[in-house]
Amino acid sequence: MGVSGLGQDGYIRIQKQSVYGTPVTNAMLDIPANPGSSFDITVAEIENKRVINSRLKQLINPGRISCSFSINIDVPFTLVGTIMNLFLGTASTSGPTNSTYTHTWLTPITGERIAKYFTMQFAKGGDTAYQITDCIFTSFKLVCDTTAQAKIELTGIGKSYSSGVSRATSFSYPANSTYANFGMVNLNVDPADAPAFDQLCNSLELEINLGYNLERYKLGSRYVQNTTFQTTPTVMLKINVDAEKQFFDASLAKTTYNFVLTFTSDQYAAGTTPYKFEFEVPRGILTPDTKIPYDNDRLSMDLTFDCSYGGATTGSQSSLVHAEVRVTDATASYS
Amino acid sequence: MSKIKVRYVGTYPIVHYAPGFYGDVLPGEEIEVLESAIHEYTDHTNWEIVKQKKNLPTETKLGGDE
Repeated sequence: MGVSGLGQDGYIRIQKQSVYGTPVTNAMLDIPANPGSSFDITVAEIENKRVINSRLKQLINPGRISCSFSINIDVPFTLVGTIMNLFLGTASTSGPTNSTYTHTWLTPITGERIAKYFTMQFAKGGDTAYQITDCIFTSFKLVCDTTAQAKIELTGIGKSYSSGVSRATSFSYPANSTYANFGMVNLNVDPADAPAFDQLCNSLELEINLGYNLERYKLGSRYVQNTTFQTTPTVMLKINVDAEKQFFDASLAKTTYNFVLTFTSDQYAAGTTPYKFEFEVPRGILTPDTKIPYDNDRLSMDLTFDCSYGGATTGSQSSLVHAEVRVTDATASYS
Repeated sequence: MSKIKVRYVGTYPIVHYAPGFYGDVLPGEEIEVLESAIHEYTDHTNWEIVKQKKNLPTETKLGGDE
């Protein structure tokens, strides 16, 4: 028995699996997770309520085993490709151009699942680690405001766990210079009925939820089964801007918008080509609750675009998708 | 404690923490860590263990006239 110790001694590391059900623990990738990330392993209870001539509560039986997590990280340009690889599967890659590559992912509109499975180990404080096998990322949220580095929140589930895993002793994290901050963002907005423009934003939030079934339990096992898509994926873009009448009018007219959200690093991936990642969202419509507040101060407004309608993107060509992600870095492929 | 030399062969700059080492590492750079951590670098896609040159045996004279 011992106390868990200083939280800074904890860590999270992952490694992609090639086969479902087979953990991979060599050459694991350290994730620079922020405080507030959560890792939950629970074994549910099956209550026994049989009337057996006693007012004592009956002992339970163990029920569903669930492993879920939410990882908050500042966004290193160097890890975005790996995260997208796990979230959206294999990329199509062009390049090299001056030793850099551009990788493209499309959100799926067919199939049972797209994520890559990975093994995750995490330790809290100085304790031995837990290992969760067959993890997938189920949703992705990118958040940025004018004070800090951009952040990603990744939620996901795993299948099985083991405890008492030996601690790692060496760790590698992206260098400080490789993180994306608010000074590197540009949001280009293209309304269907007007020319495109770059929108000045006070903050933004982009969320992609692929609609996986998080509770795919079946008779015969207390573990969640191989996850599949359950419902329509959702893509939402929320921004806060100086209030403009055009957005209110657009919400009344149900105007459709095309967006390209770009983060460009001040560091080169190779040669003189900077790291970059972009989200292209082909069709968004303002929600009906769009309002301009009535106030004394300079007015700002929250805009929420439902981007789940889909459309053609640069990489999808004639196919209709919810969103496209492009990453430029020095990695040759994400398979 | 003895140290080993390892080379970082990843594609982007990192901050690295290991027994006997803490600091920034650039792609292609070699660093020294305690030998006890060698298992962390064995068969790692981003690291290579730098093989040390062995001391050549002292040349033996042939045909001495002792």
